[in-house]
Amino acid sequence: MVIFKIILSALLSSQFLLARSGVEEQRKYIVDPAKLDGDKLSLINPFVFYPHSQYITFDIYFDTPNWDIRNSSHSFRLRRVEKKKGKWEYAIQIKSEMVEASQIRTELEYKDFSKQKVDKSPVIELINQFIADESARPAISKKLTQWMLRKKDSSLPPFQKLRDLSIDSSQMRPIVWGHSVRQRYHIYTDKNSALAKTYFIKNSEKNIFLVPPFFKTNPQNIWLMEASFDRAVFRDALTDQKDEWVIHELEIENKYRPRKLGTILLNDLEKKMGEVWNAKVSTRSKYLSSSSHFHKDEKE
Amino acid sequence: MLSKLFLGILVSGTPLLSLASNSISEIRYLCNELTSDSNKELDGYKITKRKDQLLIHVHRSCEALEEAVDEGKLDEPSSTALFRDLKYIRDSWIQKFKFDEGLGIFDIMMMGASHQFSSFFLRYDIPENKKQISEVSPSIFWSLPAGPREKEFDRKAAEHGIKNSFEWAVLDQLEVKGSAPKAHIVDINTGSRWLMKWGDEVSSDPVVSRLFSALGYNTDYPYYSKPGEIKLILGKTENKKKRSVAHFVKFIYNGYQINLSPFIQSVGRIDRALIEKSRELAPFKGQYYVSFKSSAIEARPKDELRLGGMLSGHPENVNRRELKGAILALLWLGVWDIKEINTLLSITMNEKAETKLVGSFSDLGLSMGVKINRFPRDIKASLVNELPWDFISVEKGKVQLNGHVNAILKTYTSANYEDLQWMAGQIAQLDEKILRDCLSYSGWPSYVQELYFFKLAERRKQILSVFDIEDAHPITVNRMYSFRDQDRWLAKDGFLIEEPGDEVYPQGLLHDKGRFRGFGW
Repeated sequence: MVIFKIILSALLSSQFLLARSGVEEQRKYIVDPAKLDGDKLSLINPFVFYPHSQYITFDIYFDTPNWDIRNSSHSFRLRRVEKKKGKWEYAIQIKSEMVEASQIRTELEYKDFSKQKVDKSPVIELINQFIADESARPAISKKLTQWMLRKKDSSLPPFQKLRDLSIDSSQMRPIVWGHSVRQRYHIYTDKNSALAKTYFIKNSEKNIFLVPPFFKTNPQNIWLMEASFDRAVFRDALTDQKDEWVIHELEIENKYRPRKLGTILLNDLEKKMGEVWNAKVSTRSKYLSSSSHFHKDEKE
Repeated sequence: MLSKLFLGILVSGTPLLSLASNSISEIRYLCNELTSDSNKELDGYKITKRKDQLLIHVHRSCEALEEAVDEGKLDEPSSTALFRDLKYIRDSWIQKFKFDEGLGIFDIMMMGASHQFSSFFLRYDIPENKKQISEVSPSIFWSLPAGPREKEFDRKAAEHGIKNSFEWAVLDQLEVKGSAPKAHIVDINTGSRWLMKWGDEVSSDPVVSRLFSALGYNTDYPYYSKPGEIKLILGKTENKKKRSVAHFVKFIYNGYQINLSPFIQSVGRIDRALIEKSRELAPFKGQYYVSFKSSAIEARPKDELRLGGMLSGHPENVNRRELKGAILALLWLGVWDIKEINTLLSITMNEKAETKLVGSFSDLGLSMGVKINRFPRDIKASLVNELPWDFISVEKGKVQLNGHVNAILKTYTSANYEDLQWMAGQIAQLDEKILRDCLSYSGWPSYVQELYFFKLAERRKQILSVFDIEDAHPITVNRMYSFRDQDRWLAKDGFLIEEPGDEVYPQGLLHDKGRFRGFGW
């Protein structure tokens, strides 16, 4: 097993990948935000939710006039994320939807936007303007569509995926957009907890380079999962509708290796959250949820 | 006439590609071919996985080219160079696929023919009017060393984060590839990956790689490993059983027909006492380990993707002085195995995910005195007596390089006097201190190092004389070097006369039984 860890560490050394494809085992839950405040987090013992960071994401979701992306159980977005105050990172991502709970999702992304332009306007400025300036939004939507048309045959991984799905990206336009305040948590258990003893949980075999510093300084804690609680507000980008769609969602990703034991622990946590927090499993992504809200008449 | 025909046959395997002007559709075709998951084959070769380094480097280059298209700058040299690099990557990758299929009988015959007729091709006209040698610009293949030349190898290794000093490693993968026994190992503390090798190249590869590095070239990162320096934990077999020493030796024997037993210094088992001394051994409790009398380790940096050859014969490269001139350095050091795949194109990536295309001279170990036996078939390197004192001369208005190589590459046959003269100028920069420093990493006994030192210095002196280069660092050479240990002569009159001893050099430094004769065991 240690050999396996070492091999992984050699293979997965970079944490700054610009073009990435991967699979994630994650689950979504609908939870009352009040349950995650202060001391209430400790009710889920022996799982410990440790809040460690907060960041803000802005997403613009795209689809074709025929809703091909939604119909193929995918979402396609331009994302701006602020992990550090005033420092924005950008990405274009395509992600498969979770058709059933705990289904593994695939994601392809590209992050280097420094060279992306439409008619000499940097795409990142268009994204910023789209977010900041309501009146400019229709014109910018057209420019972003123009960019999609320009990149449809390019080698950027999300566009390669669209071609694999036989989706013509030349008419893709913004459907919904919104922002999320994302509170992130490490989920761990103590090495001496009843849980650790019941399942004989040893240190995770996760690649050492990908383990957060918190666990290196607190080796008595075993990193099991990573959670994000999103308070998201979405708006329609296709029409003049002014109403907002609020989404509260708790997303939990299995980080324990071997993955199989992590899945068992995730099942345990899910059961406990159901009992204590009344958490309900959800499979609807933010795109599916918001686009269905604003465009009910379109077939899902 | 015959020579031209033969040259035609020999160089026909050199890749020839045109770099025609390109359009957005050509660029995208190539980019998608290299990166798209749905593209599972390249010229009929199956692609199992694309590494991150490849994806990041190619995507970044492709997007830069797309930007150039948008801005009407596609004909600018920077864009042409980017597109050319993408083609290099593709062609080099194909070359690797072909090489991985293994050597055919034709390849082996061509090696033999190249060896036999080497001297015939390694002669270069001396022009009547010698030109002033122009400077060579830094490229992906060569750059002027940034500091002291003898430190260049270590400087570049440090850039890659390579740390060769470790005690415990675990066997990662056993494979049968090439003719020298080897295994993939992992440093248990840092997780860094290495290739461990045994046999005749364990000393020559580190020395020649360091000298090539001192000349400004990129190389592999091989290190001689002192007796018992590394303890190799044998891990478990595919059946999850603890791998025994016998199993390990048997695997190497079945794969390479070489008995590794004489190379083993000690064996042991990871027990409680060892674990108490070194806690990191705990996961290996009960497993077997071995240490060796003689071995070498070669770094496999985690952020390096090794493609195939660096395409020295590519039309764009055939005019590169730093590549053509390399033949003089290769012959100076008696490198025999110069086939194209032993150059290397790789993509390196640092922790900021910045990628770089690098052309290296790889696998330089079959050198420093190579003996070829036809019947029975055999080859052995690092035989000091096989490295002649004299190797370069002027004959009938030509510079003649007297040595043998296993491939006649267009890059080297198209070299001219000025190319070699430029390289001679580089070799002139390697003074006594640098030569001695590089030899000190060999693990050879001091008198063998001394013999090599005098031979390299003599051959260097001849180079400078042939190319009329004033020696700014003259070295006194003793062609009759002798060394006596108490009452026994170990080296006499410029020859090694006694085997240094199989307790440290089981491969033998004097006898010529090489890898195909199990080093005489």
